[in-house]
Amino acid sequence: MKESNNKTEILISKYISGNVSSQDKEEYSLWLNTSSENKKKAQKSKKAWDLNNTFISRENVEEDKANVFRRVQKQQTTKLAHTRKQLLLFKIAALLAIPITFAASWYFLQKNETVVSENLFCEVTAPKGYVAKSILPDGTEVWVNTASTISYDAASFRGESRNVRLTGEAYFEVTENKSKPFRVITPNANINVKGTSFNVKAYPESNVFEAVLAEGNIEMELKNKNHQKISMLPGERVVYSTGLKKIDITKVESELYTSWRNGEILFRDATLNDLVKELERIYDIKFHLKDSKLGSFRFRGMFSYNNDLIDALEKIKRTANINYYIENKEVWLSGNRAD
Amino acid sequence: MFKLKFSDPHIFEKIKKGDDNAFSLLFDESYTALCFFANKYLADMDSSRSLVQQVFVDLWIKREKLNVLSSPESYLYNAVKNRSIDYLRKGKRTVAMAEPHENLNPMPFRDLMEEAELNDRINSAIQKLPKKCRQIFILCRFEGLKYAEIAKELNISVKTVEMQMGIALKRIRKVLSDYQMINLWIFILAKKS
Repeated sequence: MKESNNKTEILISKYISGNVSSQDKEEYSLWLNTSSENKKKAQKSKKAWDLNNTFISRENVEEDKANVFRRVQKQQTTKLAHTRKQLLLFKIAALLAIPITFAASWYFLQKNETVVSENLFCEVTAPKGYVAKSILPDGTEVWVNTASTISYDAASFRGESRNVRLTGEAYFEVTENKSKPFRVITPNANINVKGTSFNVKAYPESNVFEAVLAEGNIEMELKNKNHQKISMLPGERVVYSTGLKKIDITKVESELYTSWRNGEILFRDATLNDLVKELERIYDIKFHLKDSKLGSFRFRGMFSYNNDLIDALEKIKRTANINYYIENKEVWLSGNRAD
Repeated sequence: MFKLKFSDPHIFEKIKKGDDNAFSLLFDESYTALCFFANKYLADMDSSRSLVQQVFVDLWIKREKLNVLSSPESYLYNAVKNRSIDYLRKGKRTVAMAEPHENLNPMPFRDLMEEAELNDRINSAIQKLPKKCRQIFILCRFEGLKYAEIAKELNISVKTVEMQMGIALKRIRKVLSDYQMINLWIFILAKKS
């Protein structure tokens, strides 16, 4: 009985979606003319198929909702003096540099309840040269890398899912809660989480999305046509280039990609070009290479966000034999022998 | 008769007082239905979505002026309708005179609304399909792929596609049956009273 039932459903859907062979067609009209009940079923199926010609996915709804809250937030900042004060407090705490972040997070853990109920939309930004650590309403810890922003709708954390939007780079230690999926939303891909630690890099100026999983398991959902999903294993790094539509999965030492949250950057076999990119981000200063060949110079070492610029440059000078000078608030690097 | 029902009858009062949870709930319970409704006028889902978003933004910004006695359902539908017509008028002015916009939609407001809510029910039935099943159905219905193309794209057999499509259509059809049952109920109740 069940078997034939399924067969009928398959036949109807084949017919309606235009996937019938001539043999199917015969079978279909035979079935159709067997009873008026069958005819009714066919009509109803056709109607159900025809009624909707577009689809709104749950992700669409979530995005649109966040968009509404973002616009609301923007327009009403002058109105809600009280809320603003709280938000400012939240921001200041988030902006504190590493030595104070732990104290600040403790403070927020205590204060959490009131802050959350006052705000629609929370945003944490780390200014250039700093890493901000923040604790979300569910206890999840987030390290926000320099010049990056996370934002979330505090109300949604009490609802059925935990969504955080990211521009830039952040490291997450997600509090496990199987019934409330945690999701990191970026323009090119999302990360779906059950409870785990991972790093996401999605700078808006770059068309590369990158995720590194430290422990647990996560699912990466690309925002391409198929909404392709990739399950990641610990120690894996997935790089998705939106321009080339290319996905690279490699085994890595996750420590190299997540050390920044302790205010350190580890480089192993990086080029001077890579290094300069990071330093520009950290110190918010422009770098120039006197000789472009220098850019491919291989490098290893560790930098701390707490070092000042001169320390960093001295370090490069010592280890790589590369000279520097500063002119008009811009740094010039040159090979030693050339000068 | 509005079918869009809010689980909280005092939702406007709460929003007026600045309750963001109530606002969030209002959004969750009506957003997609309103998008389908706007789409009846605009015939473009992207524009419909941004139009409905603007309705929500304005509602919150101007919440202090809300009339708490008006029904949220009729407020939202009317706001979306008025804006849609505005949008079409403005578009017309730049696009040149096509047909007069009254002809654009010969269907009355109420019918459009009911159809939008039916669209919404079907939409959520599709959202609720199992992941694979949903993916296959979307590719077939909304992206116009043939079974063989879907099988190739997802690296599965055509048999699986057939099976999943059967399941999907059966579930979506069920929405229609439930809906018609509700209609029938209302009819019976109306007759009795």
